Amino acid sequence: MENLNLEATVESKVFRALAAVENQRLNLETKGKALGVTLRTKILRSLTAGLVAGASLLEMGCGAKEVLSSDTQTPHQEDRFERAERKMDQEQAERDKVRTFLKDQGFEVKDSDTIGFQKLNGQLSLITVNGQEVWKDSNNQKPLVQFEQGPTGQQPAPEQKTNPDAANFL
Amino acid sequence: MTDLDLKQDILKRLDLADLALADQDKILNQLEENILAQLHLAIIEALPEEKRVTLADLDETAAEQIFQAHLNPELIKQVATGVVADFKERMK
Repeated sequence: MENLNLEATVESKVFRALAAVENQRLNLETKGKALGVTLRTKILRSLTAGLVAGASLLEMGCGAKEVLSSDTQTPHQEDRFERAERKMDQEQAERDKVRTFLKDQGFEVKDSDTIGFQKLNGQLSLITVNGQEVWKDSNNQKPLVQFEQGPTGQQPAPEQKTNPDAANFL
Repeated sequence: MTDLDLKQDILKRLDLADLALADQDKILNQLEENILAQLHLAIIEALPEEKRVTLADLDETAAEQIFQAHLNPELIKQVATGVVADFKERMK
């Protein structure tokens, strides 16, 4: 019984799909006649092939293959890529600021060190270097982390005992 | 990704993967033909009326030159997406 239902569903889908493409064809033919032209799809077939960077019309139509040349980006895609790029630039700029801040505080931070940080209400609240917590914001009642050694082996500067004001740092 | 994988991907996106191969081919071929026909109409509609009349009488080479001048990847994608969306709507 279940198999029969499945067959009936598939059969109905075949009819619907065939009817859909046939109705589309008739509709287009009617539009062509109204415009006084005979549709010359054969010419277009060869012309389109060279313009869509190897993607077939159906791939493009279904979104199965995104053609990412600048010529074929949709405004939506451009917007998405620009946003992602802006975010990456912003994150990099913030990371650079944190690196400079740490250096100013007497830490030796190598370019290869991975800087991590957290913000609370737009203010810097925590810094990590290579996964190790190195600084916390005392304005938020968190103690400053004391170091025997800096993250790359250098002793932090003595004045490091008080936490510098990090408000609006970023 | 092979051509066969792409075809399977397209069939899945059109919800036609469970149909018989012959039916799948028939539908995909006609759908592609419809995209080309819609592309043709889109170019014609964008032309000024006097040029439309001329185009109807042109030989293949001359018509090809006009199409070539008006075709671009943006238009192709827009038309292909529209025809596929219309097909899905008609399938409901």
